[in-house]
Amino acid sequence: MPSVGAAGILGVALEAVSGTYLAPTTFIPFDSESMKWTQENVERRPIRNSPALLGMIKGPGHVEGDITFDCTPDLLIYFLYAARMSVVKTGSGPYNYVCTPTAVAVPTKTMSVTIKRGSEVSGYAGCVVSKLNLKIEDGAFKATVSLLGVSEATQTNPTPTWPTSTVFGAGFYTWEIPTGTPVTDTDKWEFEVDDSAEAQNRITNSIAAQFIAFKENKCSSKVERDFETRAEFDQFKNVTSKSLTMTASTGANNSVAILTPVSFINSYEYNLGGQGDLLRASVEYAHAVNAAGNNYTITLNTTTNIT
Amino acid sequence: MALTIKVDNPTLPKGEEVIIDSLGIAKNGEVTTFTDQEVAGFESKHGAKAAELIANAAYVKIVKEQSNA
Repeated sequence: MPSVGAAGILGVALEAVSGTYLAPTTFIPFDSESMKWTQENVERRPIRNSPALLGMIKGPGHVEGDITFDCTPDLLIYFLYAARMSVVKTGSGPYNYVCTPTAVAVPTKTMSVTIKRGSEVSGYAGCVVSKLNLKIEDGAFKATVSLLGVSEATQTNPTPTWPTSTVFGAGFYTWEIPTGTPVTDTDKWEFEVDDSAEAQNRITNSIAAQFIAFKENKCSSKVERDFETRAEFDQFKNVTSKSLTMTASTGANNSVAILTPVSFINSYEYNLGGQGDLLRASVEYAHAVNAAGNNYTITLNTTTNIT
Repeated sequence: MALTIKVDNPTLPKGEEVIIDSLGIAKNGEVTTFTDQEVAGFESKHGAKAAELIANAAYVKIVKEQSNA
């Protein structure tokens, strides 16, 4: 029987043993997903008096895809544990999680992702966050996580329990350029951490990937601001860095703050598009490390207790 | 058949509300009873018996299944 997206279910669980599937314990209301099993089969085309395909040779595979959802700290924290980050938890409820980048090649924590589509349930094991994109547009705070995983298999149908946490909307944000100076001229904000992960397949008795490896890190932000003076444009030309902070908060137990301590303007555009167009600046920042080796710090406050 | 369940999710604070899909709202750490009608809707939407469904729900346990008939 055909089915629609509305009937979908997506749940996650942090794995006890990397790559070993765990049934979901946390369920995520999501906007869209593109998780898929990718298998690089090899065409068999030996010379044998025929120009056609003779067969296929089974190739190695891995899992990849994106999940987009409303960014709230109680759900985001699961993905940050499965990213190339050090997560330090303090407090006794609400909990404070401070997430900073690391240089590890192999993730310290992996997660299982379970997705019900129609009547079929796929379990993706050994998943890690290759890229994290956080975006505020039209008041909504959205997270897109790009995952890579090692294997896929059918799983039993989960019965979800849904979170009742408050999502962020207009009026919950503070955007500081530089950190400590709130600005009110920005309507689009986007932050991205890309650890360029790659599935690693080896010669084994399985077609699944052996592990996921991280490579070079890129961290950047993009904003759209009203253009009033060329002060920031001159900072671009002079390669002057500054600290930036975006905070989304509904209170002490529900907040997400992204600090980029050394932010260089990588691109600055302000143009006249037409008679009725407001003069805006499109600014892109590249985030470099500070003395502590952090090009970003993501701080979450939530009642969610991950042990 | 009425259903009494308990949610014990160690990642959530006691008393925090969770929505058990198609069944209703329960508070973490507390016992909640759902009516015949609520349970019937739950079973109908998932196409399985409540006990089977709850067995596949993380951190939710059945305390009592009771017929109101």
